[in-house]
Amino acid sequence: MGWTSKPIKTIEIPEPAFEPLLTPGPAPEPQREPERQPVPIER
Amino acid sequence: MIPAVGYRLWRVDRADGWTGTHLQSLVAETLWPPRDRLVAACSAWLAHRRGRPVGRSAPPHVSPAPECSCGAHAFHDLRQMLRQADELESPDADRFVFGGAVLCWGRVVIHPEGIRAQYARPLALCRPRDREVSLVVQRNLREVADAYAVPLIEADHLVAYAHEFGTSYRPEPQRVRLLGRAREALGWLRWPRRRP
Repeated sequence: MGWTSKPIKTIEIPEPAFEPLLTPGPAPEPQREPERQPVPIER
Repeated sequence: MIPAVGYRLWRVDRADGWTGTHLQSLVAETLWPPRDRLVAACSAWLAHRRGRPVGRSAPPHVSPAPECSCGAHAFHDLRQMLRQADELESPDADRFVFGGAVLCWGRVVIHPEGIRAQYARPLALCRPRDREVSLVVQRNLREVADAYAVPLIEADHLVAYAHEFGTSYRPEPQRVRLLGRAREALGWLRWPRRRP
């Protein structure tokens, strides 16, 4: 892809503010491991 | 000013463990970041920032420069993208060419056939028009769409979807402009003549 024609004009477009499309997605929350219950030792 | 909408193709090389589900530019070695904007950079500008000597024919500049060919490219017209897709063929089972709509902003250089933008982000990926497309292609397309958090949309609905976010900056055809100027120039012919 690449244009072979001459450019017609150059414009400046401000950054859009759509949410949440244009913001990076939230980082996945770390998975918590289930707390280990102490295992009673039977004697 | 409303963001610009365009249509383009990417390649996806699943055989490459480094690029994975990344959308890559067809020509340049550019990986489009998932769920984020692409910031266009000219190779001459990058070379300058890294302290490498830059050729006299390519002075460093912010991308896209009107006199350069850099920037994130996109067609004005979906049909042009589909035509280009028909001309290309996926080289093998692990390499694909996918199309879609992009939103562009920042510095935008407008050409008759498309735009070159400073910032761009995929809006949606286009479902293949061929209903007989293989399950492998469908699965990979779905995985890429998920990675970029964009919908898969039929070609017939892609333009309507994209225009919810931006607009086309396709220039007025030259013929129409010339006709308009000719009408202006000859407008006096329609005026009633004054009576003496």
